[in-house]
Amino acid sequence: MIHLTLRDLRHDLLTFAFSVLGLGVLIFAFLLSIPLSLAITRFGEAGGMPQNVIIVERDVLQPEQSRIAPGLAQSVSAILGDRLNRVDPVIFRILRVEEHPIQLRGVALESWVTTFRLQLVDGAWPSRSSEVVIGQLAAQEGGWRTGSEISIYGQPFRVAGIAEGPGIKTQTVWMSYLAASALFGPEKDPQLLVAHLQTSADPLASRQDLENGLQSIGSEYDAYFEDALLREYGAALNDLRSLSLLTAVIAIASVTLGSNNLAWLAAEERKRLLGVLRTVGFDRRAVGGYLLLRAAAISVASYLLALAAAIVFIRVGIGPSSLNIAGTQTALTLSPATAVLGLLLACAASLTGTWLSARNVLSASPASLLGRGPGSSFA
Amino acid sequence: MQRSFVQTHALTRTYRRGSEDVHALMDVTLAVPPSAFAVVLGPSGSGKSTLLNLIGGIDRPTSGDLRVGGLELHTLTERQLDGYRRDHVGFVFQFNNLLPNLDALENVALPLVAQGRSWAQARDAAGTQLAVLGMGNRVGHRPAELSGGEQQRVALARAVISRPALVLADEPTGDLDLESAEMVLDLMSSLNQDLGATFIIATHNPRLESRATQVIELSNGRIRSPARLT
Repeated sequence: MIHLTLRDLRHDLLTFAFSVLGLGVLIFAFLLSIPLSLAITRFGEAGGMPQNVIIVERDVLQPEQSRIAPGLAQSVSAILGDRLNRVDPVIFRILRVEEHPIQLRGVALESWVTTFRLQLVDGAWPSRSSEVVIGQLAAQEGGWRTGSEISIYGQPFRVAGIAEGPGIKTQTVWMSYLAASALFGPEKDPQLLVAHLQTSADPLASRQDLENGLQSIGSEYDAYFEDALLREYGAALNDLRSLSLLTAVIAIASVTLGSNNLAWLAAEERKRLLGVLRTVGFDRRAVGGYLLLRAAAISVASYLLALAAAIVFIRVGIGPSSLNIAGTQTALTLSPATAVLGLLLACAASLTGTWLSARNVLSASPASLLGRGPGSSFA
Repeated sequence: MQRSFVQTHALTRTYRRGSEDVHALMDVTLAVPPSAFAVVLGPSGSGKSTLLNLIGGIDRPTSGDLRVGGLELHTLTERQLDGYRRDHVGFVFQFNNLLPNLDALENVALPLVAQGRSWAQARDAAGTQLAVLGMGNRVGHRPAELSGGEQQRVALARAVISRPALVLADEPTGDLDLESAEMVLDLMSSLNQDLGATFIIATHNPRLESRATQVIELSNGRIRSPARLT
C-alpha cells in the first residue's frame, strides 16, 4: 500500500501540494499559538512582593515617564512612620544595549537584597560605580557573562555578576543609584519610589494611609502593591492566553475538518480506484490503510512545512525573544515537546478526519464503488 | 450429467431506488460447467452485469442460492468474499478500470500483491503475463498512453495473472473497434483453453455466440430460455 500511496500522490502532485499547503497553514497556526500561550503563561506567573508599595506619578502609562519630585521620599517616610522599613528612589529607564531592549534600574545597593530580593547567581555584587549586575534573561539573550563589558548610554560598564529576583520578566541591568544618577546627569530624577514595609505592618492599611496622606498634601501620585500591579497585568494577559489557546484548539479542529474534507474528496474521486482494489482482492482493511496512509503522508508533509515555517518565523521573523507584552520582552520559543505534540495532534486530527470520512466508502460494496448498479452507465 | 462449477437457484437482486424497488435479477436458476466459455446475452438493463456482480462476489443477492466451485457465496462473510475474489476470480470490465497512476506492469501485478506477494515478485510475473498477451513492449506505459485494445489486453492480463478458476468479463469488447475486439476475444478463447478457467462473458453482441460453449439469455432480469449448450 505504501507503493500505491506514493504513486497516487506523485500522480496527482498539484492536489497533493495544495492539500499540504492548506493543512500546513492550520498546523502553523497551532504551532505558533501554543508557544504564545506558554509565553503569556510564563509572563503572568507573577512573583509577589506584598511588602513593597510602589509610588508612581499619576496617569502615566509607562513607569519610565513618571517623575518623582524631590522631597517625596521624606513625605512617604513621614506618612508611614515606623511601619516603613526604608524607602528607595528608583531610576528606571528602558534602553537599547547592544540592540537588546534593557530595563535599567538604578537603586541603592543596600536595598537590592532586602527590598528587591535579588539573589546572586554568578559573580559578585558591584564594588565600584563602573560595575553593574545583570538579570539572567539579559545574560541569556545578550550573551553577556560575569566580566563582560557592556556599553550603557555611551559609557562602559563591567558585569560584576548575574542575579535573579522574583517577578522579573525583563532583560534587566541593575546599577547603584549613585552610578545611575551620574550616568543620566541632568535627567537623573527618579521615576519610582519603592516603600518597603516592615513585615509587621498591615500592607492594605499602609497603602491606604499612604494614598490618603499623599492626597492630603496635594501630591499627584498613585500607590500600588508591586504584586497588585503584576496581577493587573496578569488578568489582562489571561484573556490573551485564553484567546491563544482557543486559536490552537480551532486550528486542530480545523485540521480534523480539513482532513475530513480532503479524505472525502479523495475517496469520492477515487471511488472507482477503491472499487478496483476491492475487486482484485484487497480487503477493507487494506483499502482503509491506503486512505489512512495517504492522509498520514499529507499530514506529515504539512507538519514538516508548518514546522519549518514556524521556526523561520520565530527565529527570523520576530527574533528569539522579542515578543513584547506591555513593554516587557518575553521569550517565544518552540520547544521540542510542543513540536512533538503538534505532530501527534496533527496526525491524530488528520487520521480521525479521514476515518470519519472513509467509513462510508469502506462499507460500500465493490459493485457500488464501481458504479455497477442497475442501469449504470459503467459496465 | 455434467457437474456444475457455477450454480444459481432462484437468484434475485432487488435495488431500492428512492421509494421504488428495482428488480435487476429475478428467480434466475442456471448452471455453468467447469472450464466453460459461457456467454450471457441480453439487451441493456436485462440483468447481465448484476448477474456477473453476484457471481463475482462484488455484490450480494437479495435472495436465492449461489454456489461457485463448492462455495456458497450467499452465506459468506464480507471477509470471506474478499478472499474469494482474491483467490478465485478475475474481472474484465468494458471500461477496463485500470488504475491511471500505475503503469501496465503494476496494474497487472495488483492481484498478486493483494495475495501477499512482494511488488518485485508480482512485477516479474506480470511481465511474463503481458508478454504472453503480446504486450511485452508496453509494460512501462500508463493506461492513458495505451490504445483501447491494448488497455483491454492489460485488463485481461490482470484478470488471469493469479490463475483464477473463474474469469468474468462484462462487455469486454463493447468499447473496441472490430479488429481489437477480435484480438481480445481470441486471447480470451485461448486463455480459456490454456488455463482451464471458466469464462463467463456478458455481452449484447450476438456474434460472440459462435465462440461460446454455453449461451444464457436474459431479459428483464429473468432467464429468457433454458441455457443452450453450443
